[in-house]
Amino acid sequence: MSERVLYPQWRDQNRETKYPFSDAALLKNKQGIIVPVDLFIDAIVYPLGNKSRMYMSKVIVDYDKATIFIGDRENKERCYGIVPFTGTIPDQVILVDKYQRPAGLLISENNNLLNLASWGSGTHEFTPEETELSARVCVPMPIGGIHGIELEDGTLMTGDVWLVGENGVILEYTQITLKDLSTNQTKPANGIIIHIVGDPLFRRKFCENTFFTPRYIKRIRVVGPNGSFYVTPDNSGNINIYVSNRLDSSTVLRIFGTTSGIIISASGSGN
Amino acid sequence: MAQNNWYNNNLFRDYPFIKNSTGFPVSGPMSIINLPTETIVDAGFIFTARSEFNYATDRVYLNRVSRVNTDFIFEFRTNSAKVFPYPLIFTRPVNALRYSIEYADANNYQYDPSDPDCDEPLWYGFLVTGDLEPLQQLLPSDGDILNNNTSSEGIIEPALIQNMNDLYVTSLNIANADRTRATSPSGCPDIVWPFPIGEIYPVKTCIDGDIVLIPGYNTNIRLNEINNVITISGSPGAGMGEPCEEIPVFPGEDTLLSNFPSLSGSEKCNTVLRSINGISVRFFSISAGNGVIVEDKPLVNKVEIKVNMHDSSACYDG
Repeated sequence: MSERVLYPQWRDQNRETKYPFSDAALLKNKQGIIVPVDLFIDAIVYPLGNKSRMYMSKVIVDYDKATIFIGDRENKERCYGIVPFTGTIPDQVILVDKYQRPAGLLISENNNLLNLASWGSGTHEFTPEETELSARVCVPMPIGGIHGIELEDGTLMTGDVWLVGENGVILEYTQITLKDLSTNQTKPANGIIIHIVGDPLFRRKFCENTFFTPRYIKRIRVVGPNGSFYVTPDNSGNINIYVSNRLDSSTVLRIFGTTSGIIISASGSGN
Repeated sequence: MAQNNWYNNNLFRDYPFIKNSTGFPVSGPMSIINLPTETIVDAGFIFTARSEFNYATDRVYLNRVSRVNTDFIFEFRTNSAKVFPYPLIFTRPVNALRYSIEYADANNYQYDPSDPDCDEPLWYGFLVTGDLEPLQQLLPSDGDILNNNTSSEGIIEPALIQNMNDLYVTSLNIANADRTRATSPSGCPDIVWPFPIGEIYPVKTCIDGDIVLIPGYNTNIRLNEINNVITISGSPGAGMGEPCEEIPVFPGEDTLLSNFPSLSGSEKCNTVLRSINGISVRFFSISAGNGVIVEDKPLVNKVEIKVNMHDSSACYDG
């Protein structure tokens, strides 16, 4: 007379059932590939944006590994996990999305994942009716909010993201008030102001080894027979050197401009 | 798989712990492996985006069960390094009703004391207790049951853990790299700055909620709603127009440098000589014509202009 364990352990109980696939899952695809009921014994699946009826959509078998895809009707490849056939065969498959963010876990045991190797190399596809997961293991994940900031090169940033201004870009924080035009209500919000003002000293930065700080002339001390005084540049950084009044005929001093400076000479007649 | 007698079934098996990690009869010093299976019938844990939890290496375990007066205290921990110091604590009266549910957050709010806005539990979870009578027999008075082997005792089923590490953007933080600072000309004393230079200066941390990107000076921001792309570009006069003054790279920079000619420490354009008589060249020449001698005295930074009428002839009218 056979014995029946009244309260089997969780994993022992699942080993004999389709779980974590749904009770209605056929566990066989149109090509005749049969998914063993003990391939997985537990799971948790939570890719971002998942909708209803998550299922194992595809298994790609290579000589050294199998890649398991989980998706829904909208996106067949919401997440995936890799089962290596070499070295230690894991008892769990860590699911990640296309940006390598965690998306769930498939639990197996006793090297059962090696069964995937027997399916033969190639892509084995399934329909929701064939490999739908139990709703119990699928955690809905809303897609609202910002889940990542992707750069042009495909890099995805998550967690605490830092925006750093440099080379003439300066970031500023401000608190602003947003107004909802439909309800006319206001609410506080965070403002990030992006200034692109350039770097006035950029030559020093990019020519660090060859740049020598110039010694600027800030003022000219004029020493004459009646004492001395300083002349500073005007708002344009210019100083004018004139000979008294241009119409004054009492001096023979002349100042002429050239392309590279001035010529000071004495000529003509004076009284 | 949930069913009507879900909790009842779990009274008699290790779940939510993995098989053989609890429920062993006491035969020597007590430890978590002796926790009666009736004690806990369900649990679940979520690790949040900053937790650094990793399915491949990390696990959750019941670290300690304590009795303090008329309460049982259940302490769960993880070996995940960042979260390890912050256990999840659940408390039950010793005579609590079956299937009492409690939710708890990790008490890690001192994680970033510099900005309380950044506070978020590193993990949280729920616990459903079953029949506490067998546990009362193990702990009839104040005392502890400790976990003597955290890699095999009281291990939570991995599928009861949701790992959301790095799954979403938790906050935006803004900072500015230092501007290019002026240096002294050779032979002049070094500029003394009232703060460390060459740093990255944080401006605001832990910005979350509704965030608005505002085009500032010379800045265009374009949004492509179809592709969800934000393009930021520079264009003279765009956004807020051209600035009238320098923009501090951190709040208070302008105050600290109020005695400097500019925030970069360099002279402003209108405080240095850039042209004479409107002539602006790299090497400005002052040449002598008839009757004038120009003498340079570089050691004393001096140019002497003498009008001695040399080579000139003087004509007298009478």
